[in-house]
Amino acid sequence: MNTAAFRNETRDGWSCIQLPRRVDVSNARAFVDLVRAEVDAGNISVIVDFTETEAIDSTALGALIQIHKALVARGGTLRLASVGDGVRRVLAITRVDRVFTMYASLDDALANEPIPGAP
Amino acid sequence: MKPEAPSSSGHTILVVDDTATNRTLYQTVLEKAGFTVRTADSGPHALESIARDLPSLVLLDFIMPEMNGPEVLLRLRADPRTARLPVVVLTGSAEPDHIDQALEAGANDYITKPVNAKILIARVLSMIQAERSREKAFSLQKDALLEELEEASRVQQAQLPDVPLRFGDYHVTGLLSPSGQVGGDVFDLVPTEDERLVAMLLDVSGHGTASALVAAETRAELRTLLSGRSLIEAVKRQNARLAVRQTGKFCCLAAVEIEGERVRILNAGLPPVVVLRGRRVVREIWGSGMPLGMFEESPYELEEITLLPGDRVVMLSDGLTEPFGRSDDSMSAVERLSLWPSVREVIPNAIELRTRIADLVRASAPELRDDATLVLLQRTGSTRSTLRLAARPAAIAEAVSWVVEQAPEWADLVAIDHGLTEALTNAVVHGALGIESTGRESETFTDYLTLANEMPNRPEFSDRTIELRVERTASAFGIRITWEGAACPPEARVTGSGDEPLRSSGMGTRIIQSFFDRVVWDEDGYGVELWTHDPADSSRG
Repeated sequence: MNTAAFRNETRDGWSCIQLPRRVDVSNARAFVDLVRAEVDAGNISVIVDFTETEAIDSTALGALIQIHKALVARGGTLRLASVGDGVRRVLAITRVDRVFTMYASLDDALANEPIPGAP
Repeated sequence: MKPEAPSSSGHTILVVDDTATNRTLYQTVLEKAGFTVRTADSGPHALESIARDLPSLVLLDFIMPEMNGPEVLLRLRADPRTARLPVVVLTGSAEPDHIDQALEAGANDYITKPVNAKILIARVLSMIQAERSREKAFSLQKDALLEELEEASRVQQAQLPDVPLRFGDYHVTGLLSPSGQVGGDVFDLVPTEDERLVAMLLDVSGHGTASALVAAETRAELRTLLSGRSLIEAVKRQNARLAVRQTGKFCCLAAVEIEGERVRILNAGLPPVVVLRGRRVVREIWGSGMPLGMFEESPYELEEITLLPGDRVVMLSDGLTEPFGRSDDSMSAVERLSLWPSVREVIPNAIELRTRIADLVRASAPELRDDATLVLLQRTGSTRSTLRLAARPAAIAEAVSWVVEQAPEWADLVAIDHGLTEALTNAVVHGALGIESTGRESETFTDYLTLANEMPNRPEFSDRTIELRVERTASAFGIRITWEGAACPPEARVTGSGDEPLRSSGMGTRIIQSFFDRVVWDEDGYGVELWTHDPADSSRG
C-alpha cells in the first residue's frame, strides 16, 4: 500500500501523521494501514495533523473512526490537530466531533492544550 | 523458427544500454524481425522516453552507470502506468545474483549475454504475446464487470420506491443520481401497518458495490424493523446491528415519520434537514446522533413539528451540498436546485430536477463527485387551529402572537398585528362587558380599560370567552373571531344576497377590512371571519 502521501514523524513519543490536501476513497486505506503499522509497532499515541487538509470524504471519516477504535482498544490516544473549517464541518454534521479531542496546532496537541470550548 | 511478421509489427521495443555497440546490435536484430525500436543510453533517459510514449516492451541492461537496471525497474513498478510494462533484463551469464535481483525488482524475464539473436527475438515475442493475452483476458473481465455493474445499477434504480407518492395530505418524491454505476445512496418510502409513512434517505460511506450492498441491506432491515416499532426504536436497533458487523462502513440517515398530524424528523450524519414555509426556513434539523454503525450506541433524537399546508421538508445527501463548498449548507442546494415550495407545483417535475442535478454535478470538481440524492415532502390540504381565551386585556397580545405563529408568511405582520389588535380589543370589550349594540355607543374601549383596571376581579372579566380559529391551505388562510354572550355588532350582518355593502361600526372591523381581501360575518353575526390569499403565490403568476 502506498503511504507516501502521508508524512510521519515521531515527536516527544507521539507518532505525528500529516495528512495530504484531500483524504478520500483513493488514499484513506493507506492512512489506516499506516496507523495500524504504528499501533502494531507499539506506538499508540497518535496525532493526526490536518494542517494541509482541505477536505475529507466519508471513507476518510470511516478511517478516522477505525483508527480511533484501534487505538482505544490498545489503551492509546488519538488527537486531531489544525482541523480546518471544511473538515470541521464534516465532523460536526456527523457529530463525530464529540469523539475526538481537537487542538489548534501540532504543538498544542503535543502540549495537550485543547481548543477551549471544543468537545 | 522464423517469427511471423504480424506478431512483431506494430510493437515498439525500447532498448536501454549504455554501450552504443550493444544498442546498435539489438536494434538491428529487432528491426529485422519487424519491430519498431527506440533506444536510450541510460536509466534516466529510459524513464523519460517511457514517460513520453509507452513502448510495448523494454529491453534493459542490468549494469549501467548512474542508474542500473533494477533501479529503473523499481521506478517503473512503483508507477501505476508502468507497473505491468513487460521488461526483459540483459545480464551477464557469470552473474546469477543479477538474475535474482532483476526478477526481485520486477523483471518479467531475462536474457544472458552474449545475446543470441534468435533467442532475443523469441523471448521478446513470447513476452509481447503473453502481455497481449493478459490484456485480452483483463479486457474481457472488465467488460463482464461493467456489464454486471450496469445490471446492478438497473436493479438498484428499480428497487427504489415508486414516486411521487401521496399519503393523505402529504406528497413525497425522491431522486437518486449515483456518481458511478452503483452507489451507497438510496431512499425509501415505507408505509406501515399502523398507518404511518416513513420517508428516509440513506448514504453509506464510500462508493461503489460494497457501499451499495450495505445500503441495500440497511434499507431492507430498517423496513422490517419499522413494522410495529417507532422510527427512533428502529434506528437504534439498526445502528447496533451495523456496529457489531464491523464492515468498516457506516450509514448516514435522514428520515421523516408521518403519523396523522404529527411529523417527526431524525437526522444522523446528513446535512441539515430543512423545513421550508413560503420563502422562509422554519426549521433546520441537524444530526442528533452519529451515523449508523459507527458506535453501538448513539443519542438519537426526533424533532416533532407541525407541518402546515404548503410546507416542504427537504432531505439531501452530502453529494448535493459539497459541490457548493460547505457540506453542512443545505440552503445553498435549495437555492441552486430551486427546491423552494410551490403551491402550483407540489411535486417538482422529475425530469427538470434530474437536469438541475446533472448540471450541478457537471459543474463540480471531479474529486467532489459523489452520489447525489434528495427526498422532498410537501404538505397540502388544510389545517384548523383553535385558541380560546378569557376576555381580558392580556388576551390581545396572546392572540396576536398565536395568529402570527400560525400563518407568519401570509400577510404583513404589522397589518395582522394592527388588525387583530383592533378585532381582539373589540372582542374583549364586548365580550367582557356583554355590550349590546344598542349600548355600545355609550361604552367605549377607554371605559372598558378603566373598569378592568379598577375592578379586575369582576366576574364578567373572566367568564367570557373569545375564540380564534385559524384555517389555512397552501394558498390561503382565514381567521374567525367569535365572542360569547355578546351579539356584536348585529347591525354589521351581511343581509340579503350579499349585494348590500358590508356595514360595520365595530371598532376594529373597518381596519381589518383594509388589511385583508374580504371580511365575512359569522352566520350568527357573533364574529368576523377574515380571509386572505398567499401574496407570494399570486406573484408567481
